[in-house]
Amino acid sequence: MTNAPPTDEELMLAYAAGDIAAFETLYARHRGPLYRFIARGLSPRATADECFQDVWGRVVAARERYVPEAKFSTWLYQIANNLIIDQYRRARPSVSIDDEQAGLPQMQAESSDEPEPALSRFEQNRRLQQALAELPDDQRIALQLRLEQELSLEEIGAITGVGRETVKSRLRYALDKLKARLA
Amino acid sequence: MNTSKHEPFDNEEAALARALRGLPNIEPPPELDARVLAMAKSALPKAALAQSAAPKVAAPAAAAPAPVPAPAIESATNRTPRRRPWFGAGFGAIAASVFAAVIGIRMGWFDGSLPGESTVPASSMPESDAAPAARQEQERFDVDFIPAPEPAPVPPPPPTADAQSVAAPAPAAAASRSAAPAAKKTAPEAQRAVVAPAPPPMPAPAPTVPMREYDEKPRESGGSAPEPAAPVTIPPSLQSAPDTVLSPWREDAAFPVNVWLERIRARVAAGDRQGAAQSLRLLRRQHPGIAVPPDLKPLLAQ
Repeated sequence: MTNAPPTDEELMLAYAAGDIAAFETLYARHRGPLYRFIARGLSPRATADECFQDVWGRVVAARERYVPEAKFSTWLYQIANNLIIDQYRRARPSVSIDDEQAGLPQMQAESSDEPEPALSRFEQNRRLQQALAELPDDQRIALQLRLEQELSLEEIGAITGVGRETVKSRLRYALDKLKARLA
Repeated sequence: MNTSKHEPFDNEEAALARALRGLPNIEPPPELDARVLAMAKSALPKAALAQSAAPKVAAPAAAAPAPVPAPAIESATNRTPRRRPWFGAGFGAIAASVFAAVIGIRMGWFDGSLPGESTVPASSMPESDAAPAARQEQERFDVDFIPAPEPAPVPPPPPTADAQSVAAPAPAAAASRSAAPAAKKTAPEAQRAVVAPAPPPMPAPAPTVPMREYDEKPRESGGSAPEPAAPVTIPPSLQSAPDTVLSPWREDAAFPVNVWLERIRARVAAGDRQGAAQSLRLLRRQHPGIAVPPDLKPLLAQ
């Protein structure tokens, strides 16, 4: 007898049947990763917030049509990816990384006794963020889905609408650029 | 479906993944969480929310009830009532408030109006819908207090024509009041045809002044006339007298100004210019603020 937690798909079906607690559980699982996925690709923060809410709004609106043919997370990030691409088409987001996104206030609060290591870490984070932001959109999205969401190449392909080899190629280009940028 | 998640990283990917994990763990702000959860909650029908008060899926799957099968999601019970409460309650509330407001305004206006005036403009009401009692009351009022005799050039119209002509000047809208003088001419004629079958010959009636214009003035002057709604409180003895025109002119003082003026006109129409002039002078003494209608000003020269 296993005590496995309900899957995302079961939660989504339960929510579609009227169980708000199921949605809360589902939201708690995905809110952080999804928000990071969006916020690192979109700035300013208000735009990311709007996109994040829009993603969940579409999930809510489509709850009765939801059929668990694929993973919920694939569907969720598919929605997010489409909205991010739409946002890119409307207006190319600025690539500036604010201090909060790079974690400067948090580091300053945590290690006020050692300002130099904190600044060094902050600088590293800022450079990484900057390098991520400067990647082409399709490469950055593939990289985020791969490294942050730990999705397979097939899942990334399903989300972005391209084949496995294309995803692999995008990941390769992205990694090379990041290495060069951070070296 | 969750099996493909753990595709192993190569070395480069693993190093970069560690670097990414070192980035600040940004989270959605609490207000954003609240907005999303409120949106999800509001999308569900209230009945479903009540049923899901106890968490179903937070518990392990073995202990929790099985996920709701897809057909249940598509059932009409979850969909159709969703917008009904808002729509039904909203529409009902608006309709009720509008209805109450209309009734209130109507009643408030009606309280200060002349007796016999219908709450529905007679011109917009089918004749068959008019209450006979209300019509009789209006007829009685007009018969009693607008009795100016006038020679009828044609035989008296049948009673149905009377009723129609009585109902005509009763529109409630203020715009229609401006047309009241013309309409009022038809009402007295019709009533005279009923109660004064053999009136003496008389000149053409002077243009009447809308009673409403004068109805307001006694309130300002604070004269000795009865209260503004005095048409209602006319002594029964006078109401029952069809020939009040011929009564002593001093009795005119018992009436409100608007009725008083009509009585003066009736006296003029009946040839009693002396009584009409005396009555008008008495009216001016008792109500100095009243403007004498142009058609009655010649009486002051007498």
